[in-house]
Amino acid sequence: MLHQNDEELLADESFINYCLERNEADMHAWMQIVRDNPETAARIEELRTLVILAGKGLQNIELKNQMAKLGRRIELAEEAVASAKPVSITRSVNRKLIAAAACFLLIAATTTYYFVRSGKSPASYRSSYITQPAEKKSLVLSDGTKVILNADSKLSIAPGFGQEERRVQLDGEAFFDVAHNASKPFVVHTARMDVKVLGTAFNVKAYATDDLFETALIRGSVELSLKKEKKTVMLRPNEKYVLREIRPGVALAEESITGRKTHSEGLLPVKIDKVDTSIVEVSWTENKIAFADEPFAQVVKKLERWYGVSIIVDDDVLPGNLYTGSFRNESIEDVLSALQFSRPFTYKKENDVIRISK
Amino acid sequence: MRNDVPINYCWQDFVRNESRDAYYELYRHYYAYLSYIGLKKGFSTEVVKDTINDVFLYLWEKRRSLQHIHHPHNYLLTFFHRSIINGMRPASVLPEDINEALQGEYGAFAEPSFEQNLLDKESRERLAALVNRHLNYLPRQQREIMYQKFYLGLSYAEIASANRLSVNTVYNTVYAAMQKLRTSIPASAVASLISLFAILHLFFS
Repeated sequence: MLHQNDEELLADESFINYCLERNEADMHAWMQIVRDNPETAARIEELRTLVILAGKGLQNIELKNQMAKLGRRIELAEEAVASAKPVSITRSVNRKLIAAAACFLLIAATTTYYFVRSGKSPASYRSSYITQPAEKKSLVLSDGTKVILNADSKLSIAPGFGQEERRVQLDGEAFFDVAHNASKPFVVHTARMDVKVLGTAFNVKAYATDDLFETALIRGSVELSLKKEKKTVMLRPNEKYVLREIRPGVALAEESITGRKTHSEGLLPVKIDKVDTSIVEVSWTENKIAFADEPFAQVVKKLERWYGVSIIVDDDVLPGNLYTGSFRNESIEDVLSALQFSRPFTYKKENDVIRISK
Repeated sequence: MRNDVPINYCWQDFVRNESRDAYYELYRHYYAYLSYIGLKKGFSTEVVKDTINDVFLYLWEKRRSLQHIHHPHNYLLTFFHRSIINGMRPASVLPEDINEALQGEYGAFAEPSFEQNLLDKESRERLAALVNRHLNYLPRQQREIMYQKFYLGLSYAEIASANRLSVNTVYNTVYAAMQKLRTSIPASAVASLISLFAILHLFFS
């Protein structure tokens, strides 16, 4: 009956019950054991003391961490309320947006947190909205502009927003339905380009961790200011502008394998979904995850953000294919098994970590 | 759970005076209990933690409109129960009558309250400081598993399912973490404290 070592003691649920004073019968049984075995009593009691102190200490750590998280969320929510009134996500967002007489602006963009605009000191953005991976948020800014913020993104509102001009800063991806007001230009700042709304609809894409930054225009007209290139570009409807961060060896390796250029740069048409003729760049606003001739690495990155998982791809998985397809309201398992049709691989999912191997 | 009186008092302070301290006191009071319920129901650690914070964020945002709640304990429990099953988006009106099955099933949880009979205060604090310093270095998942075992008192099978791990992995994690804790604390520090304590413990048991 008497356990000799820590391992056996810890594996015994009744011993833990004794430590936590959880079960009358177990407590009595163990007290008896301690009395009857003076030679091992000290060892048992020592472990019991550590179990109790560890439990208490862990409760404090858990509380501290979780309360800090909650505190940050409260802070964010209160700042957001101060400058804009968030609305809950609705399924008919897109229809509502079309009904609105405002111009539409779709942006996916990246900025560094402290950006410098036109030589002035870094603007401080006190109110911001943040989405976690796998989360979307709909908001209405104080000027009536509607925003849908895609996963893993941050939108900051400049102080004095709406007074003389309307400036926001975006790291991630967002859909803007800009309330028309010619006297107060609406500008979205990102790391590689600024997007000025001139009464048009367009789409920009550039996550900080990605090597592609793009802006696509859906309707109307926008003006892009490319920071490094120091030039401006006007977009017409159904055009997009793609910028590429040069990171030697990363995406190029993929191209040499496929023998195809996976990404062009410069002025290009938007991608149209062959099945339902929707525009791929904005499909996320309809809860659709879509790929159009995209390499595996990019598909993986999209899946990570969309489902809030991390995906580890083993080195022996060749990123040979380009993937095209769209999924609405499907689990990540469904998406992965669809991808397996195109090129067989195996995967293992544990918690929020997926490992893809040959 | 501890007794209900301070909870009702905290609740009133929170909804009437919008007291942040009272609000966090409620959080401290309910965190372990709600964790226990959620994990016992088979939800993952991540979902349980997020739901608790979703529920409390909602409470803070709606604090001005919660004055009509007369049974905060039942309200919180029902609210949490629903949120974790149906996802967030709480209905504006929640019944305060607690589901009987829920009451019966989870009424048993009591937060450990052993401090008074564990060593003398000074030795306890010295040892606790040593233990805590070590705990802070544990990786997140190990810490969560240890918490679920040594504070919530969940079974190995329940912890395994909450963390999507095998029972064996949980055993090994708990044992390895405890071994490290033991070896990181000078044996003499523990032994001298324990011997005294063990004697007292036996006398009074």
